[in-house]
Amino acid sequence: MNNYLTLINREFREHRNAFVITPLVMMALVTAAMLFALTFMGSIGDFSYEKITHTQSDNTESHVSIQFDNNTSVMNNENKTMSSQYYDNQKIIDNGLYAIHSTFIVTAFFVVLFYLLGTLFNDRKDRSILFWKSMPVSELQTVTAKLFVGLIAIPLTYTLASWSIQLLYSIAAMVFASNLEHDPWLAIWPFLDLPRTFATQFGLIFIVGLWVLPLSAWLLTASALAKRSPFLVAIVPIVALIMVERLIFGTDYFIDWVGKNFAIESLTALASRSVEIDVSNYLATVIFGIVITHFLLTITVWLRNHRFEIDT
Amino acid sequence: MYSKTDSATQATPTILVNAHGLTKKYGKHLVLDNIDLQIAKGRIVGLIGPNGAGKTTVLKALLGLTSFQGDISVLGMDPVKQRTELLQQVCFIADTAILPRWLKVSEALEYVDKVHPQFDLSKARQTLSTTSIGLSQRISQLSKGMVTQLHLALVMAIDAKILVLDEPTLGLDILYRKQFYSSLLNDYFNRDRTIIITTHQVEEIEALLTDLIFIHHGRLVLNCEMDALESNFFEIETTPEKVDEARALQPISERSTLGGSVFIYENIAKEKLAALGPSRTPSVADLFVAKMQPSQGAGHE
Repeated sequence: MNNYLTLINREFREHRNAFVITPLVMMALVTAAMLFALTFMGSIGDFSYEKITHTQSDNTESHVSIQFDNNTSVMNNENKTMSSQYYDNQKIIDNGLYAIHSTFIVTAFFVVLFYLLGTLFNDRKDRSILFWKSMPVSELQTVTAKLFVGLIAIPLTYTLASWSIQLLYSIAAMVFASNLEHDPWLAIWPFLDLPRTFATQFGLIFIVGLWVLPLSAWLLTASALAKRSPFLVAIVPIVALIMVERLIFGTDYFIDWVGKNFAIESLTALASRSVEIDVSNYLATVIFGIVITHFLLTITVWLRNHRFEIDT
Repeated sequence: MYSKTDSATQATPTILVNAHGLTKKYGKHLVLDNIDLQIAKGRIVGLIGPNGAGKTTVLKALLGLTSFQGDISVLGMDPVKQRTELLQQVCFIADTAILPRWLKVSEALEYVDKVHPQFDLSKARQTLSTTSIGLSQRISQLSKGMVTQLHLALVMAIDAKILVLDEPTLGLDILYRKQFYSSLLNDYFNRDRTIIITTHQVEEIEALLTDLIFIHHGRLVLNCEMDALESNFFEIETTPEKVDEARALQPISERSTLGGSVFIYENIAKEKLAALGPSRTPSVADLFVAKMQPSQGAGHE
């Protein structure tokens, strides 16, 4: 366990720019964009004065309503039936939060992609692998630590950065409402469910991670196998397989299968902003994915032990 | 300072490295050809050979870094199957330029401290304090000599039983090379440690070695203790008139000098050479050339 923490720490130090500097720069940029929007456009994304200002709904069944026009906001949510107005406000705030989060997660996706493709290639290229190999750390530990960093640690880092900005967004929204002479604790606060939002985003790291596990293992295998370009090693066999299947059999089973099992569900999970995926529906896929991952990691560790030199 | 001869005279040497039938092929190319090798505790073994002779492959096999045919036991362990355990007792420096360039000196110390149970952090810091290397410097900011100093400081702070050095001074100037070997002998080596070293600069390690191994085309062409060189090898410089007589005694090497020729003989009675002139023990460098290039006059009759 101690070795794993050291190995993870090593990855963060090696990839300082991608793991630390980039999220910080993004935080600064997104903050600047929010301030710009607030100052010059009077809105933050979908969140604007017009959309949070509502008069009392005519709908008598609406038990959650806000009225700003007399400076006395009334909030009644005793009845758990959510009005469409409540829903809209909730949605507007959620959209803002998820827009911020998406920016970070899309960036994290590319960081993880390039990290996994390069991490078992770069140390072979500059021969520093011989230094790492002179230490009593097994390749299994090294490879699994890197997989953990790619699948969990990097997304978690970007999620933490995203959370800080989402928090800032929430505070900015409350300040914004306050500046418009509305009570932010009634206009904004009831619609902010940050624990739920953050818990969902946290859960998505693991859900998506589970789905892309075999693809991540494949990227690591390509990284350990490549002598020049890990990217080509990762892409060419898959493209070749698709083309061969298309040319010989005229079918697309492979790409459909990969897409359905290992890509679409994870994207769906992200898009639906929900971790409430019934894994039991995909149990066979998950188990098969774990088997493939195990197989690919075994190859990767073998390559690291026996074919690590680029010259030979 | 520890005298290397103390360990060389141990009555019953403990064998730490035992290789039998070591063979390695890259495709059809035979890199190591059925090598048998034993290395005892407390020795400094020089593994000398020209480029492509197979010396690095031998070291890699001993360290479990390459596959091979044959049997190897290092400290009683299988270097391939038990590499991680083995590396708690065996250190190696593959060459001078392999420390990761992005790493800071302090991070290198911290990393080794955390993953290596035999590492003494204070000792490494103490060694580094005698150099101009700063803890906050990145490896990329260090000169090649400083990187070697750092690497040696890391390795010397590890209480290992075997130290393997593959061309450790390659590309370094003479000052760093002298300093490197001085530190190695004075600060690191003792009767409980074994050093295996490969280098091209044979003359620089000659005084350091207790054992000498020459490897050529994947085969060991010499494997003996340094003390045995005196009784097994003789070098004689003769005048032109005695050249034929010298050749008749089947030298392993002949080279011309100003006003005469120099012959090297192996396993010959010293008395037979008396008529040719005074004999001496050849230098390791001359012996190396003699063994690597036997065609230069060797075997003339």
